[in-house]
Amino acid sequence: MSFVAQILQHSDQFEKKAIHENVEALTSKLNEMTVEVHQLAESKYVDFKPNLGATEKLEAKASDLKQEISELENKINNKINNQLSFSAGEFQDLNSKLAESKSIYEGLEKLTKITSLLQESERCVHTKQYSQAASSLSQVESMLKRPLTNQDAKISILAALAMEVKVRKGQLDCLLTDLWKEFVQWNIKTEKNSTQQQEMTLSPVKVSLCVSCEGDCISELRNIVIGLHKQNLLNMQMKSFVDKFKKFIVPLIVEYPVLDIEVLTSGPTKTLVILRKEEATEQAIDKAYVSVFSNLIYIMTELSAMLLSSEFNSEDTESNKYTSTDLSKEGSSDSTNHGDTLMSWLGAEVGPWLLDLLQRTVIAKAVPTNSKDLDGFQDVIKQVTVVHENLIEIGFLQPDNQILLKSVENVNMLFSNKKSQTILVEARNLMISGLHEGVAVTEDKPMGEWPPLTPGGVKKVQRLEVATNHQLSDNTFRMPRCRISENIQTLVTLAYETLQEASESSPECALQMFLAVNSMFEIFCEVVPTHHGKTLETFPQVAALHHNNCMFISHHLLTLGHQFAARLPPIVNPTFVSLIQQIRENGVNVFLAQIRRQQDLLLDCLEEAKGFGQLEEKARGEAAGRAIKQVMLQLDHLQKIWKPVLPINNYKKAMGRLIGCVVTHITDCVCALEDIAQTAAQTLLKLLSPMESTCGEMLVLPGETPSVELTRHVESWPRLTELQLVLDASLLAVGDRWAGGQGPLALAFTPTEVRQLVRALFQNTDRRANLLATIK
Amino acid sequence: MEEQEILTTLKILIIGESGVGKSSLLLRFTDDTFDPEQAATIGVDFKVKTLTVDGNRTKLAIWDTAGQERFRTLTPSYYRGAQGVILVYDVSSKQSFNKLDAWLNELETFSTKQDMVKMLVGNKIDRSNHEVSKEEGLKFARKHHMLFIEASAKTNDGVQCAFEELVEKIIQTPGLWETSGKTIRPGQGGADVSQGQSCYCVI
Repeated sequence: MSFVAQILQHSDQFEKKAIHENVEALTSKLNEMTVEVHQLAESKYVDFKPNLGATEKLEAKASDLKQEISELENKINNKINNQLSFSAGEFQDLNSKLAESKSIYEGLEKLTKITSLLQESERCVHTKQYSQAASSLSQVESMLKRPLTNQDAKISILAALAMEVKVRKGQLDCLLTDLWKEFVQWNIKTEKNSTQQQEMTLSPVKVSLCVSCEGDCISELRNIVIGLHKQNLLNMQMKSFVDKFKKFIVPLIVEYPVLDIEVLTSGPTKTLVILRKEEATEQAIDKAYVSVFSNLIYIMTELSAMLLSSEFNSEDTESNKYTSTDLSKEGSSDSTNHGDTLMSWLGAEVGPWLLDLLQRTVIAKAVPTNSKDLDGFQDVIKQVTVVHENLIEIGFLQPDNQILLKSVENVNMLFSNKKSQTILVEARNLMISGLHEGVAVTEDKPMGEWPPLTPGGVKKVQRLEVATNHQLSDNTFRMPRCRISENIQTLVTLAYETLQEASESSPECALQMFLAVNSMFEIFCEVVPTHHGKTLETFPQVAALHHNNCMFISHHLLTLGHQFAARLPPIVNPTFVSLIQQIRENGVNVFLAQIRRQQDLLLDCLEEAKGFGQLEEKARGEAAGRAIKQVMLQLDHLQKIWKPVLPINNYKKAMGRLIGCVVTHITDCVCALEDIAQTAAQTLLKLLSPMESTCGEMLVLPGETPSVELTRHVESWPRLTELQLVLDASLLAVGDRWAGGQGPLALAFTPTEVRQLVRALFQNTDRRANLLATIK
Repeated sequence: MEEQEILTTLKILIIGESGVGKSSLLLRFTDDTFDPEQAATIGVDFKVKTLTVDGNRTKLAIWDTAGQERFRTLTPSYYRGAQGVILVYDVSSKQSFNKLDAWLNELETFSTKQDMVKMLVGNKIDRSNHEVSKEEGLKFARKHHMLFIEASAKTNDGVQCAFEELVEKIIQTPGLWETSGKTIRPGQGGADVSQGQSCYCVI
């Protein structure tokens, strides 16, 4: 047996012994517990039974008591409720009585206050505290507006009071108005302007404004003003004041620079007398603005001192105690604040109008018309600034009103606008006045030397080379000798002068002036053909002048821009060439129309000859002679008026055309004749032969050959010379002249015409037949 | 030669500087006259003459133009339809010879017939102070394909010859003169050309 086994066997015995001992101990404890439970149960029951009985009795007693209590409570409830409702009714009754008494008290208090206010106002009126009176009344009024009770209508005293207030108010109104009228008296002397009509303007001669304002009166006046304002009457009074100011004082100031202004003080009244000085109106026109401005400042300052510095929307300080609840602003009586003076009222009413008037009349007149006088405008600016400052100081203008200063700010703009206007008016006057006064366009440079061309482009050496290699004629780019309307020359000179001035002015002015010149010529395009339409149609001389005018203007427009380009601001594109086409076309068209008209006249004359047939008859011969004489006379007239006017080339062309028209008509007529008797041919020759010298004379300048000029300018002239030859020629000579279609006759007439002529002139022979055969 | 049918009418033009003797040549040819004080032509002058060359009778419509500059603008219209031109210079005036180029230019510009026959005539050989030699004239004529002759209207030297040579050449040029379908062939070797004068025209 191992040691371990021995130990295990030993412990087993010990364990069995221990368990036995434990079982014995438990058994004895269980017995003890049984006894204890039995004892406990016995003793508890014994105590419990009697307690139960007592408790049941007590319960019964308690429920009895509870019954009694609820009965009692019911009784009490009934009784107290009754008493409570009664008491509540009584309380309410008392309460309403209290309220009634209170409102009666309030009403009475208000009435008292109203009464005292009314008394106060009356007292104030007596003491000349009109503003006070007015404010009291208005307070009463506002008080009456708030209903005392909802049964105000039944309270008769309220209605009576309202009536009373109304009456008082009316009285005050009357009083104040009367006082205002008394204090501010106008005395205006006017003269009727020319016509009898009622609405014609009355121009003032003498205006005097009399204001009683001395010492205490100042405050009285102010009181009146404030009173009026409070009574809402100031509006009306000021309206009439403003009207008078606008109607009488301002025109005097603006239109008559020389005024006699006096302030007369007598006792408490001050009188401002403005008197127009008739005799002096003509003088001193030059610097009218100076006196106008000083008059304005003087009058305005005086008005301000006399009357208009009064504030109307404030309470005097001493009355503040009474009206502390009034809506008027505290501190508005501060003298630096002009917001609510009569002057500011006046300013608000007429300010914009007056400033505008000043701008349009006085300042506009003071704006210089010449750039040289621009410096002088500084003085105007200074004057305007003084006026501006003065008007602000007296409160006529609000400090932020810059209109007057702005109006003179841009001198350049004012100047250039005025300048443009002046130019255009002047130009238009020139254009609509007569065109018939002519002046000669001389060949020398009319506007002095041209400035050098703008450098650049071609190198100088190259330019010199070109210039020396290709000598231009002296006549290049020259206006040919002719006559133009005097007015148009003045117009072009005006354009040059304006541009000259533009080139010496500031860029803005320059631009304006340049545009003015441009407009000037645009106006020319429109105005002249329209305004002078009838004249241009009727008078060949005027048509010729107009033609030249157009050419003259175009001639200058070509270079006008370039001449001044270098000296004008770069924003200007200095060219007038776009107008040239239109102007030239107009000139040409007018003149061509005139030529057509003259053509018609000439052909009318030729109609008298009835085709130049049967000239062997005396009457027909004479008629034809008369017709040709008329035509020549008419051409001679045209020569007389056109030759000195038109450029020589245009003149020759025009006359050539008219002569050509006559020649064509005569030769066509003769070619169409069936038969020309020998005597008729001789008559015709006699009629036609002087034409060469007469017409030739019309076309030649000294040293020129008439026949050459006729051939040169009258396309159909050879027809006349050939016709004359044929009329006087033998058959043989005609044949030679024809020369198989190679002779001069063939140049002037067609074969048909020649054959017709030969048939008409010569008798039917074999020789004639032979000749006719060769003409084809 | 009486009433022989006229073959054709030819248009002949005489041009050249002012004062070289154009009108004198014409008058010598047509009227056989000579005026030392011949006035300047104004615009244009016109003469008709019939001439028989090689047995062909032709009518000449001769246009004598003004040489003066101021009448020059009138002339171009007369160039139209000319078949022959006589271009005249003055042998005693170099300046008139120098201007020939300009005249040729004008001719080119205004003539309507391309193959128009041109004859260069050096006039006034009767004078002693010659500034233009015959050789020079000949050279110029050759250069521009012209006939050439020296003449004197005053002494009637070479005048007739100049016109005859020109007309002959025109007639020999096909297409230059035929008019309206007429088919008359120019005859050959009819009359004697030279008539004993020294007539040396050259192309």
